[in-house]
Amino acid sequence: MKTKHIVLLVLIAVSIAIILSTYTDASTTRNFREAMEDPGKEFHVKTTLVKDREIMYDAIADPELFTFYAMDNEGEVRKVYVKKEKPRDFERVEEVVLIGKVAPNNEFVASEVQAKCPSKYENEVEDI
Amino acid sequence: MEEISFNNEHLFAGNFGHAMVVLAFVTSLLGLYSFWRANNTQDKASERIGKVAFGLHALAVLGIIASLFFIIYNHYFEYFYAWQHSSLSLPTHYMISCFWEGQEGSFLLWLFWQMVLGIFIILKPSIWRSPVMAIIMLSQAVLSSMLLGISFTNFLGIPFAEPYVFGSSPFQLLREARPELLELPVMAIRNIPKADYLQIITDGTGLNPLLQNYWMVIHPPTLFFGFATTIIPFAFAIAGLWTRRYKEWMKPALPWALISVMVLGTGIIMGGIWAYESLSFGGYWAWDPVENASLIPWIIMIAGVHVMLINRATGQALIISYILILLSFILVLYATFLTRSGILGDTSVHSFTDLGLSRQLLVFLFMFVCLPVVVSFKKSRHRILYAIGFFILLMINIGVGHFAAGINLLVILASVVALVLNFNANLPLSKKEESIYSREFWMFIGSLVLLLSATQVLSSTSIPVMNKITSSFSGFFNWLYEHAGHIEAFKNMANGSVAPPIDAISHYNRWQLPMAIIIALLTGLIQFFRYKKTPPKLIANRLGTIALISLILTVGLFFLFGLKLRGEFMLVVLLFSASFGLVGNSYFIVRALKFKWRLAGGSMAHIGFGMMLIGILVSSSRKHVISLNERVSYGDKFTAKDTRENILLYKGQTLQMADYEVTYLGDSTEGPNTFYKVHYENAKTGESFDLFPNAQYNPDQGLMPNPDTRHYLLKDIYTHVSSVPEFSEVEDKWDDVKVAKMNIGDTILVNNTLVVFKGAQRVRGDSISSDLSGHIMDIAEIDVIRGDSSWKARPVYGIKDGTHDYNIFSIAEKARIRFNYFPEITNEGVVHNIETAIKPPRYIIMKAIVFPYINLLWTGTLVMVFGFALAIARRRKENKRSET
Repeated sequence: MKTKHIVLLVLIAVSIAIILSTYTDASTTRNFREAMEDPGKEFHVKTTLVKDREIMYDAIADPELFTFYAMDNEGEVRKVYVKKEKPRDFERVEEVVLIGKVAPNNEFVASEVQAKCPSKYENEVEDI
Repeated sequence: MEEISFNNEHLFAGNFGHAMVVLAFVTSLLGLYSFWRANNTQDKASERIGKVAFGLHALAVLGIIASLFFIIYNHYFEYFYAWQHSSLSLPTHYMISCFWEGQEGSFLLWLFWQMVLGIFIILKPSIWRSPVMAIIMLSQAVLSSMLLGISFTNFLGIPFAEPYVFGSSPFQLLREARPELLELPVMAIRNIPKADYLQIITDGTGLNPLLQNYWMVIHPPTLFFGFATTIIPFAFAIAGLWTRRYKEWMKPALPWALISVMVLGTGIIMGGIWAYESLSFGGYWAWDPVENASLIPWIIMIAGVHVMLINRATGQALIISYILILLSFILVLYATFLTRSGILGDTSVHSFTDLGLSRQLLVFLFMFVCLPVVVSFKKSRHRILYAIGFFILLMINIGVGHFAAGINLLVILASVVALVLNFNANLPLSKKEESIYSREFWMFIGSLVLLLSATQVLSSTSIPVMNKITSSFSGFFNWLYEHAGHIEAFKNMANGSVAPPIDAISHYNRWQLPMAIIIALLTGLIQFFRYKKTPPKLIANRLGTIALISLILTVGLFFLFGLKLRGEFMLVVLLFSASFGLVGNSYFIVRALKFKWRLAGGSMAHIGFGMMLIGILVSSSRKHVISLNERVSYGDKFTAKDTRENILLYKGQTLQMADYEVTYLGDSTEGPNTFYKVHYENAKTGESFDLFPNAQYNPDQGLMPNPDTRHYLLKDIYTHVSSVPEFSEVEDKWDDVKVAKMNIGDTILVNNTLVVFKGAQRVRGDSISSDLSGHIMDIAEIDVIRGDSSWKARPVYGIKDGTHDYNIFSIAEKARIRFNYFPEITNEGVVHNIETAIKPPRYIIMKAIVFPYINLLWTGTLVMVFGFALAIARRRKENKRSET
């Protein structure tokens, strides 16, 4: 076997390992019900912010905790705890991707939230 | 429908601009055709027409830019682009940034840079001019078509369900983009006729404040210049295949590839500096898909440069040179597709939404994937056959949206197979085996490692794309899931519900760290090898010395940085390999080159790379948050290891934070920014300074903090506010309202402050002023005492014409207490009701991070870019010499 072939084999092997690791390290997008099946494991959950329920944040009591209610694509509403400072104007957010897990007490604890604001100009037209 | 003639619109600028877009598109097609003919027939007349077409094209591109700038500069908000991306208050020097906030503007910028590069190609007479220009013109045609904004309602008489808009024009009018505007209730309420709709458009929505930053003025144009440069080596490679000068294209292409590496690298790192200086995620690189998308083509281009160097010296590595150079430009297009098509969606903090261009982007991506395969066929008949086959598949692809992702994958696989077969059949390949004692062998290995590194970033960044592909084969993956041990990944692939890794940083680092180690080692190692063959003894001799020096350096840095062997072993290995690269290349400059700087480009770039690695290693592994929150307990919901990295600072309160006593002194507002003054004092050294982290309030994105950083030679102290109270909270909000019945001399405790009721007196209004005759005022006397300070408060209960009419509150400002007085006459006499309310304190929630030795990263970057510049100069000179 020539050096060339060894190099080629190693190249292919590492490429396969890379692609495998993309999938083994990847997280999963789930809804609340599915996330409940594996408590303690972190998932991505696509939700919308429930606007008529309270968003709680007390910077003085704890600058790094806020809670809100989110609804997933099956319509299930859950209270979400986020261990971060509340982004200002979180109230205006529409869609929220939660990255977090179901805690032993069945509450959803997010380590990160990615918020999507309604698009810039649509609002503007409403505001005029 | 009646035609409305609208008033006060400035239609000329837009019509002119749009005409220029059409002209740019038409001239690029004409140029493409002429240069193509000129290359095929060696016809001078065609080349002349091509040159004229290019000249007109260049003017048209400048015309587009001028019209768009004119519109933005004059605040013509009837144009959607100006309305969406600028505002009256935007300073002139940021108007240029409007060009890259919108997609159309970014394509325009790209168009502009490629045009500029075209000038350099067209001015240089060579056999490559026509074929290379033809490719550039093709790319110009593609880019200018993105700006056309022409809508089609039917295809060959078959009407579409909804009009298909080809491209997106930057000169679209606001009322065309938002027709609902004319129907707004406000128009009817204010009785404004539709023709005068501009009366309600008084200002634009403004430029994203994040872009109103010094680095954002220079980073995007540099990055786009870098993207644009990748077309030139690509065009040379295509020209090489097309004209069957299979090897000769590399000589003129090498300096261009180096320019591409230099400019793209500078652009990427500027983005990192921008992120560090003005974004508040606390770092310079976050493995965000948008960052990755520009990193991938850069790494590939670096690998490409190395294999081209191998080919230059030995004639080896021809196929891989083609593959890497072609790939680099295609990956730039792929990056554009990723970031501009909306496919990244939720996976990136700064992804763009789909402007309706995603299908067009995909078609163009495929066109450029197809192009090298077409020209790799030797016979014209085969070229045409393949092109037609590809075109038909592409049409099917556009027609059936559902299976599109799967078909795309198959088309690409088939094309790659065809390309490899053609390369094998047509290219003059060297059959010689490389010796493992040769420089080219190790350079080749290094390039492969770079390729793998890019593959890894690409693979993980492409998860949303892979979801589209795998979910179009959902039947297959569901079957796999059922029959192959219920592996969850298969189900996720079938559903397209694979999400990016939760801990992206460690996912990428796991791969990139070992690869960086190998690459850094190789940069040092190859300097001991000669091309073709080196006597092993010679290598061993020098290697020993270098390894020893590197080891000493590593041990020194190990203790300086405070690294640990256990748990950080890989970092220590990286430290050694980076040191080895640094020392090896320095040794090479001193001993082999004898300080001939002209030849030292590569070594300089390698030294810069080593410094960058050490800088990244120490600044990220020894970066530590000093604003640790130890005050609050968080209950059992959160485990103890969840770090708490923000502190709450009340105005005027001093907290100990690592070596510093920090005090939030107050804030000031300047334009849209609020600056929070934070005083740092180091009791040990007596050093003190103020930092002004600021935040901008934007109705769309909420609070957008910008950090402020104290730079030292050996470290940075980086500070940003994470949260501040709402403005209204600070100004008007009074909390904790309580009423106390008090007797004279009573004392109560409010907000940690003593409140003493001294008594009350009744004052007749006319004794103060004749205006107040008929008024009777009961005034309470209150002393407010905290520590050594005391203040007086005098709330008033006002009676007019015998009945209670008003209250005048009194505020003890320093104690943040507001008093009201409500006397009440009862059977037992007067009851004094004192109402107190507390103003919430001003505060900021702040994060502070120390980045040690981050200057190593920035210095390394400069050294690397300087090295690239030296290499470009050297290769250009060599090319010139060989021509004469």
